[in-house]
Amino acid sequence: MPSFSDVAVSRAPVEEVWKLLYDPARFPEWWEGVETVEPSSGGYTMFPRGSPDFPMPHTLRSDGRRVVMSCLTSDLRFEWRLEPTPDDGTRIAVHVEIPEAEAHRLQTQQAAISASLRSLAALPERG
Amino acid sequence: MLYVRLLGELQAEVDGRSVLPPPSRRAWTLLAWLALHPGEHPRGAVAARFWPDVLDTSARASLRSAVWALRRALGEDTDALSAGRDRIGLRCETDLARFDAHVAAGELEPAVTLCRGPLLADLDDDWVLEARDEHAERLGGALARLAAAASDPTDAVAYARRRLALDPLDEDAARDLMRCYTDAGDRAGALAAYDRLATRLRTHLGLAPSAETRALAAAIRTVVDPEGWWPRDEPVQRGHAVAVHSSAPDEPDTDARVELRSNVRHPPLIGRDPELAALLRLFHAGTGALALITGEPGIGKTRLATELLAHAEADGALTAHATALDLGGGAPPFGQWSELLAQLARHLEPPPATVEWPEELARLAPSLPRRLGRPPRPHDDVPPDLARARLFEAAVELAEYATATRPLVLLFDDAHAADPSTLELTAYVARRVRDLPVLLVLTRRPHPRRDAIDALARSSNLPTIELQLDPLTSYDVERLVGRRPDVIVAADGNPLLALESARAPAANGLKSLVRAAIVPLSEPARRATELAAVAGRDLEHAELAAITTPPAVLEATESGLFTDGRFGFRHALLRDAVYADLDAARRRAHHETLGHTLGNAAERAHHLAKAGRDDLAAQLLVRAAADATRATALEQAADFLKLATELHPTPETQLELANTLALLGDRDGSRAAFARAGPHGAHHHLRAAQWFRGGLCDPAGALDAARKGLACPDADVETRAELLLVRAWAEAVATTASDAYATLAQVDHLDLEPDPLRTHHMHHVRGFIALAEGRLEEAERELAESGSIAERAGRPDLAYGGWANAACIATAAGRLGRALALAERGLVTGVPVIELQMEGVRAGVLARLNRHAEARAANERQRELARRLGSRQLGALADHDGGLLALQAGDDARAAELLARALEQDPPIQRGEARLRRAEALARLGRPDEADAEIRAATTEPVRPADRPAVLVARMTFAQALSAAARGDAPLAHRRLEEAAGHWRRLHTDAGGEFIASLIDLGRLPVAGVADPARELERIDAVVL
Repeated sequence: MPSFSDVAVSRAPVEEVWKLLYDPARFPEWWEGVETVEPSSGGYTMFPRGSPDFPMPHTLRSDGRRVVMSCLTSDLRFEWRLEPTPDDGTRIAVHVEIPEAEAHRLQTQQAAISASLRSLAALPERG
Repeated sequence: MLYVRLLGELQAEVDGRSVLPPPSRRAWTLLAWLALHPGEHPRGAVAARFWPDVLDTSARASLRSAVWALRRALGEDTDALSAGRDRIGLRCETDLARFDAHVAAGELEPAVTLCRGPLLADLDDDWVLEARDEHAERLGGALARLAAAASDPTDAVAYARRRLALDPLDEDAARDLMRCYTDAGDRAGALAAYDRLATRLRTHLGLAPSAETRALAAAIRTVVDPEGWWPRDEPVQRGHAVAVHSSAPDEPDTDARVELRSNVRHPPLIGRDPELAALLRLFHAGTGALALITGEPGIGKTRLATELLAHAEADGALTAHATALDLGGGAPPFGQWSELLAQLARHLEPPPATVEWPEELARLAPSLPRRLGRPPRPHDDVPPDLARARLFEAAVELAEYATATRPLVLLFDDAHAADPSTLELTAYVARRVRDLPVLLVLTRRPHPRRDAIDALARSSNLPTIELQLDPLTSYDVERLVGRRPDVIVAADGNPLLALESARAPAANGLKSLVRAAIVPLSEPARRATELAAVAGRDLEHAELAAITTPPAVLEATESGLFTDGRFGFRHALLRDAVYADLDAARRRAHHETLGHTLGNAAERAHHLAKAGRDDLAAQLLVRAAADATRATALEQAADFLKLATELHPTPETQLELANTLALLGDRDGSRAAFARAGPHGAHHHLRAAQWFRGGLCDPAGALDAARKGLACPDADVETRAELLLVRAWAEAVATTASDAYATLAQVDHLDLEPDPLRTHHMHHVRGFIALAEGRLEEAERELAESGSIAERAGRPDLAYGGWANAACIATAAGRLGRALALAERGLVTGVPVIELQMEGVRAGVLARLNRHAEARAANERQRELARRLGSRQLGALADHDGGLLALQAGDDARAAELLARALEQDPPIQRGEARLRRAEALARLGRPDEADAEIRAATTEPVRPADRPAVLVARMTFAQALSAAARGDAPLAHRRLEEAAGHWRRLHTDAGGEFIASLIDLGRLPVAGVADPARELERIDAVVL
């Protein structure tokens, strides 16, 4: 299964990154390509920018260490990890798994998630 | 009307016309069984009972033939026989039922007149023999009471003789006859009765009369004036070969009575005076108490405990004593309680007919109701967890009843080897008897350590003493065995070793001692001795008769290894030494003999497994598991089935294991066992679907199993209906309401006869459909109705779910009065685990009504019920709920404390949210550092869909605001409050979805913790900076 990982460091405390990661309503502020997000039963639905009629329902779960977001239509899986750094910043790691059928989207996804990761790190720094 | 005579040879009449037995013997026997077991029974169970050795389909076919033959014999003009597709039953009157009714009403004379002969005298199936013994015991009880009440001594003798004729080896009956003869002035008759008993025991069993009987005979020979030297009000029904004694406080304690007691052969109690004094102080305190006696094997634990029992009896207490059967985990569940209950029943007066506890406790001691003069009644068909809750409460009710007039002392000997269920029930009773004069005594070896015993002591909240028995001093050993320096040195302070060494001075250690005792025995006597060692417990008369001969037993008892009057070793160490000395071949042979002989399936399975007969052992383990499930010991049932699948795996065993694991909530284990069972039919898929809908609460699993079942060609119409109902429920909570609607319509089209439980499930599904679609009022109505229907069907476990859901929905809709009424319906089920859940719901509603004191009281009751159930997890849940309630009431200190306590455990709560709520309390208390630590910790807690991450974000922001305020950073606090308000404004209320997610994810209802954005915004507005 195609996959990739990426890492970024934010100067903001872990709580501030956590609040962005757990609040789907704010995804459009940092997730590249996401235009709107609506809550849905047991999760939330993301609508890609430019495709308002293409709902992508997701679930969000966490075991306390990893936040896993799973897309119910494409089987894309995003796994996020947050760790406090010694200077009260946050190390953000992401691992993405892409189903074989979507392998052609690997490079596009990698670029989008890399940009999203940096936005996620920078957004709380702005306060 | 069909009238069946069961007492004597089987006879039947329809409206006064005699029924000719049908040519089929099985059909005639079926009539007897159905008449003996009132009510309707599953066809499968009846077929399996009558044709156990053939396939299920063949057995059902044979049952159909027998039913047809029976219907023809009874004639067309009676509808006594009801034989539906799934169930079969007989409506009739019987002489046995009349007998029981007479006994219950105290009309003993007409009761015994009905008895024309042994029950079903012309039939000899195993179940007939069991029922015959049970009835004989009931009849014996009635005759004993008649003998005791007879004003004419000659009548008393006649009743007592008739009682003894029921079982000529019954020493209790023989003693009563001896007393009646003596009362009638016929001492020669009394002694002749004794001689006949002694001859019978010697001839049939190779045993001498017990010490108690011999003492009575001796007293009759010597006493000049027989009047008044034994109590007239002595309990009339006594067992044989059991160590239970009782005397009412007002009994005359005559010299003769003392003589009877002193004839019980025990070595003297030496060197334990302080320990005995401590135990007696505990007993005399007159409240619930617990004593743990710990010591190495042979150190005198049992001796000390039995001395306590003897003193307690002398003071008027009722006592009972049972020893754990150590089969390395293979013992039947509740073993010691079964024995204790059987003993206690002999000494209790029949309780009022309105109480239920004798029938509940019949799961452990089937003879209990009839010993208390109550007619047989089948167990209610309720899930094991509900049955277990009732069973445990019944044990407490028994303790209350037994202690109404006198104290009770229960001895659990060798508790280190007790089965887990015995310790769980003991712990439950210990938590409930603080205000009753009940002393629980447990003896145990220090190794292997049983943590469950220590946990029992910790959770009991009873005055407790723990006695550690050390070796005796040389001085005390000398008092025990005399001036025997070699023995004293060899014993090293162990009284058992001292006594045995003194008995056989040439022997060096127990092994040599038992060899010295066995070597002179003939081969049959040696074999009998070895069989007793392999059995691991005292052998009953009937068991002895099946495996050895009376002369062999008689010779073996002369070896000095056995207890006087019984065929059991004087000490477990002697038994262990005999067992250890056996070579492997002999050991296996003896295990196999016992595996084919003993009565209990678990015990037989243990012996057959030890004999290497894995296939037979596996079959018996399946039966043992069924017995354990009936006794509500699911974990032991699962252990039996796991062992059975290891020894000899079959699809049926895997299915039973899957079922049991599902009942235990083990989703993965259940799925795996179900998969291992191989191809399934519709019925199997239905069972799986019902597990997933029920205890496992797994909509996806339920949907999958229901779909597979519906695709099976063998799904008949009723199975289809059940499968469709499961599918509709799963669709309502996991997919779309329109699917669920369509599935319910299919159920309606099946046009089945009304069935209460099916109707309950229909309303339940409709309620969830309405909930998923946001029609809260309709959802509340449907779910409340589902609860009422289940209540009328006698299923409080299903009813409370309906009421609790309806109460939560009413809360969300703001109909708080209605919510409170619904919550209170579940408070009178008498089932603690249900009442605990409903108290939680009620507390949440009361808090929403700002009735905080009542909410706190409800939460306290929730905690008390958790304590009664011995569940730390439920206790932690009560702490969590209490914390949220305290927060609502503005009691931040209490909130912080309770939430901290809850978080130390692992109850089914939203841990992240609990931390954030605690952070709020800490911040308000001016402890911002601790509040920030909780906020940080919340980021490391798991999050499930039910947790609604966005709600957590809003709560975290609010907690941060309060923390900033506590630090005096008003600008930051203000900014955070604005941010939190923004979060709450964005959150829409989806109460239906939240309820469903919480139910599926956490298995509980979110009343106290429900997220209500409007209320949260009010809380933000109320913050003063």
